[in-house]
Formats: sequence, structure tokens, C-alpha cells
Amino acid sequence: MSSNLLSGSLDTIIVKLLQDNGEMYGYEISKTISRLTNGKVLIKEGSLYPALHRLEAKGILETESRSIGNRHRKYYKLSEKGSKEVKHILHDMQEFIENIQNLLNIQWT
Amino acid sequence: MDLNQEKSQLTNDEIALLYRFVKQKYVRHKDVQFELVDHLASSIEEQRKTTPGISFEKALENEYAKFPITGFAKLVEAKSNALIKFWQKRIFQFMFKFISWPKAILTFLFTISLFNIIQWNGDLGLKICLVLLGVLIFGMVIKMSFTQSNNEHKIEEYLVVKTYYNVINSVFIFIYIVISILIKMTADEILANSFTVAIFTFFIVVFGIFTYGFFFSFPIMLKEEIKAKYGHFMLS
Repeated sequence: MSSNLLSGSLDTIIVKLLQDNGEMYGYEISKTISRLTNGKVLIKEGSLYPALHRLEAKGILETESRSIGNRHRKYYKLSEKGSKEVKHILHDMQEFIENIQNLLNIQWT
Repeated sequence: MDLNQEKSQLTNDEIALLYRFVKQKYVRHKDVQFELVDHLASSIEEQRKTTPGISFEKALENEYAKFPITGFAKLVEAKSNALIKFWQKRIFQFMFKFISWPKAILTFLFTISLFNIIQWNGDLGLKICLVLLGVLIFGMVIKMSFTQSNNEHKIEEYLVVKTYYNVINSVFIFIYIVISILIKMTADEILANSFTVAIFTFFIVVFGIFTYGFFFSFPIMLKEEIKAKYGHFMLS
């Protein structure tokens, strides 16, 4: 799938995954997206982490780092603000998809 | 832990190699390095499971190829921008509390009192304010240089600390610009009418709130942020 198509919806995909899974780390998010779409949607690492950091700065996500064996891992989860906003974010995306579908289904005469 | 998982797990030496690798790619800050190292390590471990016998170097090469041509630079830049916005927001939220209930009453009373002191005492009131301002700035400069030199290694090592000081420094620059303008104004110009006195008073009050935050609240904010997000490895 084109990265241009994905760029506007990445934040929504991330918040939805975190709503469903509670907390996740970067690599896990990337792998889960690939698994759920049978490898058709591949999130580039160069897009994923900036999106995560942006959502964190906005206060939508909060993070916690923990020791995992011989290394540290950063977990992302929805903040209180994020949990409240996720409904609106998903609604906006749903509306956008419907509008795009309407636009693309237009029969030109 | 099953045998396959145990086999695929990276050793301490391999983790150390990954840290060296990200450092070579100009990721200097530890709070950025650890997330990238975990990402690379997770990928290498998975590749070892799906392609048994793959070398550490090959698996690393495969994963690094997925990053943009600029390597990790975009990630570091994005993280830095996000942290700057985060600190700006935290400082703004702190300042905003003083114009929100119930602190707004205190701010309002203090502003009105200061405004009247300047209006009633004219030149003398203004001089008292400027001396007060000078003392506060002097104290801030001393504290800033002291804390920055004491935390020099942390500023260089951790992006969260570096961006905190960057934001504080940018506010300092703003204050410096305002003071430069005030110094160029004569007492008569400031005391010309109620509006100019109100502007001057407003600046003193905002500066006073920032000074209070700078001495008492912002360092706690930084400590809490470090403890909540990076505590276990930054304190080790």
C-alpha cells in the first residue's frame, strides 16, 4: 500500500491498536499491523516512531520503560486524555472513509 | 522459555554491539538509543526464529535497510521536536494555572497591588520593580549556570534533559529581548499612561511566575518525568 495513503491514517491505526491491546512497544505495533493486514500494510520504521513520539508529545499516549532481560523496552499506552479522544479520532476516520467511498463511487455520465 | 526462544535471544555482547551501532549512526542520546536497540534486537531475534542460522550482522543489515536513507536522523529529529513541544506545553500549563481558579485570585491581587505601587510611587516604584527584576534575573542566571554545569553529562546523554534546558533557554532569550526593550524606555515613557504601566506590570507578574516555576516547580517536573519514563535506567 502506498505510504502516502497511510501517512494520514497512521495515528488512528496506532490509537486503535493501543485501545484494543492496552500497551505495546514499537516493534510489536509494526508487526501487529503487518499481521492483521496479511502483510499488505507495512509501516516503515521511519514513520512509526515519529508518529509515536508526536502522539506522546500531544498527550494522547503515555510511556513507560522497563527492563526486559538485558535491555530496556519502551511501552506505549493511551493516556487518560487519549482514552477520551480515541472515540472522536475513530469517528473522524470512519466519516473520512465513508466520504472517500462516496467520492470514488460517483458514476460519471 | 523454550529452546528456540532461548537460542534466538541476544546476548549481552550482542546488545552492546547494537548500542555501538546506533552510536555510530549518530544517535548520541541514551533515551533514544535504548528504544532503537530494542527495536533492532526484537527484529534480529525474530529473524533468527524464522531463518535459523542467519548471522547477527546479516539480520542487523536487513533491519537497518528498512529505515530511511537518512538512517536514524529523522527519528532523532522527530523525538527532539516532540520533546520540545512537550516541555513548552508543560511550562505553559504551569503558567496557565496562575490565571485559573483558585490561583487567579492571588495573581489578580498581586497584579493590582503592583500596578498601584508603580502608579502611586511613580519613578521610585519603577526603580523598586527594576531592582527586584535585576535580583531575580541575577539569581536565575547563577542557578542556570550552576545546574547546567552540574548536569552537563546528563544534558549531553539524555535528549529529555537537553530539550528541557533548550526550552528554558529559549524563554530566557525572550526575557532578555523584553528587558532590552524596557531598558531603552525612559521612566517617563513607562509612566506615561495607565496602559504602559499595565503592560510593565503584566510583564513583571509573568516573569515572577516563571521565576517561581524555574526555582521550585520546573526541576521537580523534570525529575518526575525522568522517574516516570526513564527512571530505572537513568538513575542506574
